[in-house]
Amino acid sequence: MTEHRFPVTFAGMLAPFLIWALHFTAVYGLNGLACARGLDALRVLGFPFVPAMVVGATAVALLLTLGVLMRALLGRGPAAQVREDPRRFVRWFTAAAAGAALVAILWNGLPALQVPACG
Amino acid sequence: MTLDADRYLPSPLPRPPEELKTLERVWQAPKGLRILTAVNNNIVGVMYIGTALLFFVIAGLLALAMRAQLAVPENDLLDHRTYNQFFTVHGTGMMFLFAVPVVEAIGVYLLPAMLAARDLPFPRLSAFAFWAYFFGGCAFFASLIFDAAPDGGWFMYPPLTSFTFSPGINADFWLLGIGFIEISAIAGAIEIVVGILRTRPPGMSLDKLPVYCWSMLVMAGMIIFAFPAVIVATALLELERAFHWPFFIADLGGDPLLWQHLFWFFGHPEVYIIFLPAAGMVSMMVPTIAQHRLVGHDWVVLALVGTGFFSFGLWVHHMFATGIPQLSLSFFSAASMAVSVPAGIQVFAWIATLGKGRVQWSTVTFFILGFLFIFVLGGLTGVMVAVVPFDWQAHDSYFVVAHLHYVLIGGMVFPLFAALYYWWPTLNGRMLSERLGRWAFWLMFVGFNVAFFPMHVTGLLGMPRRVYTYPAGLGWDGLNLVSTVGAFTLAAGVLVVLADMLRNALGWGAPAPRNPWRAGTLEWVPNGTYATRSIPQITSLYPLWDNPDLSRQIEEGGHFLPGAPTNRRETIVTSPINAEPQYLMPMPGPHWGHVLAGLFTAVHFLLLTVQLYWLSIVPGVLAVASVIWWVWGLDKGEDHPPQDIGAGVRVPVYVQGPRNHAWWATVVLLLVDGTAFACIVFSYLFLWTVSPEVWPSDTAALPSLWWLAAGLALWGLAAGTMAWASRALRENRQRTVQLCLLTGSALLLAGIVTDADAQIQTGLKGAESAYGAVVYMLVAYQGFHVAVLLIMTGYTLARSLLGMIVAERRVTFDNTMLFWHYTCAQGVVALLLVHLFPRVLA
Repeated sequence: MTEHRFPVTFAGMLAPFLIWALHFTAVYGLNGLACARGLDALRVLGFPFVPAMVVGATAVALLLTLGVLMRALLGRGPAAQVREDPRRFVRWFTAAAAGAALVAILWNGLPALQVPACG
Repeated sequence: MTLDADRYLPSPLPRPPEELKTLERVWQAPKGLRILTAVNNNIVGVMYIGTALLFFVIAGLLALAMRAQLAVPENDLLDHRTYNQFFTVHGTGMMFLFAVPVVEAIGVYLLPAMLAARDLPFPRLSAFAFWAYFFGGCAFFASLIFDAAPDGGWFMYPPLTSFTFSPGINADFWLLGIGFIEISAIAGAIEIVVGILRTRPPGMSLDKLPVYCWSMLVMAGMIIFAFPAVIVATALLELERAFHWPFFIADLGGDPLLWQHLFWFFGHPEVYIIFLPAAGMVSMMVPTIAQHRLVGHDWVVLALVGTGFFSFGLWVHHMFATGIPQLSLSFFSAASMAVSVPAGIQVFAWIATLGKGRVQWSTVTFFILGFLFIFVLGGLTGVMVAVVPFDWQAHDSYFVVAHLHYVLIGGMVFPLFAALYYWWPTLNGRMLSERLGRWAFWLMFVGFNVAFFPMHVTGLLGMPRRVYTYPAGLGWDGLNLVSTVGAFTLAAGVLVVLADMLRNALGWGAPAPRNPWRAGTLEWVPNGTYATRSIPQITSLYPLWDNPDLSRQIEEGGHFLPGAPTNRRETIVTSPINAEPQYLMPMPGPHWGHVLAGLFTAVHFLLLTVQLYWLSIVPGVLAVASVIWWVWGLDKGEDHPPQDIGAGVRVPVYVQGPRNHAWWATVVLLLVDGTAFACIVFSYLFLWTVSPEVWPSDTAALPSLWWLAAGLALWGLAAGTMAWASRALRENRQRTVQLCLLTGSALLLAGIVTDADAQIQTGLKGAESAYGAVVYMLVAYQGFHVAVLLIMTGYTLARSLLGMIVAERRVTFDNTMLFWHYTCAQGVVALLLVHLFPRVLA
């Protein structure tokens, strides 16, 4: 473990929350822009534009987070970059953060299916 | 048995007696008036905490005056102007001058002890942060005396606070004063991040980091990403007030909601910036009072980090009533509910720990139970106002006043008072009075609930916040009177604590036994001005419980660095994850430089506030000169051979590049800087979203692309010149280094002049539209960086000419280089945005 790897390891541990943050920014920005420019009436492949985009972004974010979770469970990811002592903790933290982020991303994406975009 | 084991410690016992004498000598605090120059964390921390408590009392007295005014309907104790100033200074003082500083102050005081470090890594920076805060805070409160205090509320919404409706200097006191004090908070955050990640004792890998340190790490991370937003917001509003750049004026393409977005992007995380350190303290005290390890330690750490992130997805829940699209509100409503889950995890962990242990009943326990009761109630009303339709009903009413006080006083003040009683013996070896403590608790607990619980009802009955009086017969009279009685009862409780502290400071407290609460963490190891005598090898989360002899071993110098091998202040720097010793960091001692820098910076901002712009240059220059004086003696290079710190481990006294702690601090500073820049870019895109009509629709109105090409070339060349200088320094070609620095400075200047001139040539005016304002804001921000870089480059050049920068001693150069490359990259991004974005639209 060298200090050069610290940002990578630390970012790896926080990756699930970073994905949540990116997803949040994307869906909020998208909806704000769509409402400001009157794009909410658009349809994409027959689906309303904003919910379709939010569902798409949510699916991508969930898949990415699931990837982080799987790597953590398999002992890869940031845990593989640290020595024995904190390895269990780093692995557990990454996996638990991924679990929390999965729920949070899903929870944040759900309103798109229930609430009008610009009402 | 013990004596035998002593021979196998990292530093075998007994230690030579002169070792301790040297340690005491180099860490000795200055005497007399020179105490003001002290940098030891256990002196600066105490001054910091004391000042924060003083400001807490002043802001609390303003609250009492307001409650007296509201005790009966149609009261004329305070007129509306004074009342407006009081609630603004009360809210601002509590949030900016008490809550955040006090949690940082406790960090400055406690963290080195908890990490068994000799001090935080940048002691003069901590001391500067304190002095800037002290002078700035005093000036801010003094504005009340001159009837010049801000009166727009603690969140200072424009247009009320812009030049039309607040023409005096009252709003400027807030904008410049608070903006300046936030710089002090950021300085503290940099110190805390680097301190926690790099000055841990050997063996304290991330999994063994105490929960309080985790909470402070998360808090500091949140400051880094949240505070730049409010600094940018205050800069924009000040520019609007001073030069009429219409960032928030709807008629000219601005939008008052931009302020709300920026302010609450800071303001909501601010609540957790205050709460998380308090939760961290509770997570340290609960295991001790229960004599049981924290149940779910790892979950609590996850909850802290999760809260840190989720809290950035809540800001719009302060803006539910502003007409934002319904789905957007739902995203924030969902996040607002989600954030209660990690808070719940911590509450359950504390309850489970108390349930599994044998609770020692004391004032500390009472304050913690009071915290749990009040904070949970505040959290529940938080979930209520996270529901959009409910928020529409309760918005800007006393219900919100009740909610925020339940969260903030419950979530932060009660844990703080528990902490005062708990950690006080580490200050002077005496216990605070248990009898007075219980009186204080019951007065505060009963007083708080009597004051604030009725406000839920007052709010639901329709009483808006911030009214200076109200007519009789609306059903608010009795409730307000009860709230006032409660407020004075709460104040009586605080007074009892202050009296107890004073009594103790005068020597009337009972002497504390060693480790009086039988705690398991390192801050309870006896220590002096040098912190702990030696720095232990850590193998568990509760080292004093797992090795009952550890305290004695440390105190007798049996672990790492039992003396001062280079005859100066120093501490061990360890790797950030595994905490393996890397080098011995020399630490600066007492100095007047940082004190004067804090004073002159405060005077500079004060003169700006009272619009003495030209005169403000004098203290500004003196502040810069003081900083240069303070840092000149640092970066000494490898002036000693590698030192044996114990267990046969030899470490160097100087390292360069990414391992160096100053490199880390600069990178953290650049994260702050980058966030501020991102906030300006957000402002640009936000204003375009709401007012596309003021953006140029014709490319003819834009500077020609040659300007873009010239700008890109200049920033690129400047970066390349610095890279060349860096390579030349590796080979010790001093003349080339100096030539590159001079050439690079000229290129930087040419770059910013080109960027500004490109816009000026088109006839664009900052005061004509929000587009002009935000474009010039981007240019001005880049110009500010160039100005800072020119000072840094001059400093680097001077050291180079004096032979103080060579290949083996280049930390100063590296810091300048990091800032330089960042500035060039920022210049490129800003150029691409202002030149290409309107073209893409057109």
